[in-house]
Amino acid sequence: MIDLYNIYTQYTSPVKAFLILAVGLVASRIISNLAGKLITSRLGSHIGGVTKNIVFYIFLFTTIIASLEVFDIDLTGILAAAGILGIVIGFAAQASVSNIISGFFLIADKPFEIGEAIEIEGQGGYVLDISLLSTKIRTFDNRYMRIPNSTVANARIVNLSRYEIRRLDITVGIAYKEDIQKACEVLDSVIKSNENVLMEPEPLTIITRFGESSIDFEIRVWIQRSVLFTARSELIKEIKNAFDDAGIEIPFPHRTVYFGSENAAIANLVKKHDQI
Amino acid sequence: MQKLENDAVLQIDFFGKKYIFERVNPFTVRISSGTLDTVASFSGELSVAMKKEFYVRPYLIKFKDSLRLAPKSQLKLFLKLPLVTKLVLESGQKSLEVDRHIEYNRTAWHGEVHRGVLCTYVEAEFAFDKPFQTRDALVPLRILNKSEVPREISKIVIEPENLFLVEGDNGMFTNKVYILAIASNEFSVEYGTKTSAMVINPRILIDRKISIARTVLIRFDRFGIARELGI
Repeated sequence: MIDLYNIYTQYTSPVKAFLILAVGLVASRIISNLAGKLITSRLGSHIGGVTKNIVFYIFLFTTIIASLEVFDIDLTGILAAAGILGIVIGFAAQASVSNIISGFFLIADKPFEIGEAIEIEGQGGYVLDISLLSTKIRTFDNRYMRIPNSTVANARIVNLSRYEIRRLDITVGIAYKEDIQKACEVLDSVIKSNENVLMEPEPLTIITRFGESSIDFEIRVWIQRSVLFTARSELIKEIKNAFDDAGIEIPFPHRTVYFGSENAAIANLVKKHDQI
Repeated sequence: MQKLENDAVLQIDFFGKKYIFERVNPFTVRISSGTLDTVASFSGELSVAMKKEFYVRPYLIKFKDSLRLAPKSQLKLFLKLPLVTKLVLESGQKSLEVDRHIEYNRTAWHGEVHRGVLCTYVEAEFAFDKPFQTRDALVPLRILNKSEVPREISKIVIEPENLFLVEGDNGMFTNKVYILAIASNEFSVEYGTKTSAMVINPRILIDRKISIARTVLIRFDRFGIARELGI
């Protein structure tokens, strides 16, 4: 005859442990999903995803501990061992821990978001992902770049996508003999005729300094971020053409290099130059 | 609006650009111009029309000379508001946009440089007594100064989503817009629910179902900080 009581007493603990584990897993998944959705709606998808993972692993750890307790296992030793292991791992994975903490700071501080164009220490690109350990970037020349979060957190970051309009500064010089007023008028007409230049904030043309070989002007115009490079290229071309049409000289420093005085050909050239 | 019959060819001049619509069969229309040659799948009773619509962005309208308002005064005028013209092929409720003409391409930023809105830039043209002829729309504008001190207004911002458009025998008109001068470069805009009484035989072109007058407070930076930041 089958001893049901014996079977029951023999298998109660594994069944209980299995049930706790199963229910715990499902509950962990549901709670972490809820927490993720809640945080996503308030703080964005990225921090929501991280929160979901953290909540899931905390609940999973608690579930495993609870299911082990069913077997009357003394967890004090395991937890103590886990503590020591934690310290050892902490020392061994100092860099990773630093990255994780930096990752939290980056997520909280939000210096940039996924999809934005940024510059980190002079290297520019689009942010592909911000994970706990690293930030992934696709550089403007289409290379994949992974930067540890601790580096990102300590780096000088320039966010190129944060604002919709940008100021474009172009410096140009005219020869000392030229009429400054005329040059200002030419520059104004170039700026006003370029459709990429915003009418407000008003464009500015300022005379900045007496340069080594030129009177220098600086044009400061506001441009929509998306057409910045096009506008810069157009404006430089248009300024050059407009100055040429108006007969205004853009000077540049001249340098003459002599390769030894005994070279007859060069000596002739120098002579010719002097005659001119 | 011109009907496009079966096996017929229709030639349309769209702002100097010639479009030829050829109905190849009851289901196909060939559209060709200097730069475009395409085939559209369209059936039913077809027609080609030019439709008007507002610009997508808000209008930043700058007055050539600033308006000075005496204390407790009101200024009534008609302000020209540019419209986008679309060339569409339509059949009943269905329509296919072939081209669009945008005359005003200049843009301006309204607000602080880090927080603002991109606008269509328009230099104001207005008439005071009666509407003037234009292929664009006219805004019946009322500028009020309720205060005891003179006010000056040099530019305004009008949002197209608060405007409706009617076509009368004497042109196209929007609903009335009221500008209340609050301070220098600070004003509120109220969008009325009716158009001018001067519109003859009005027919609705764009209906926004505006039933309640809406007031918007607009402030241009008093110290021109946007400009200062440019220095």
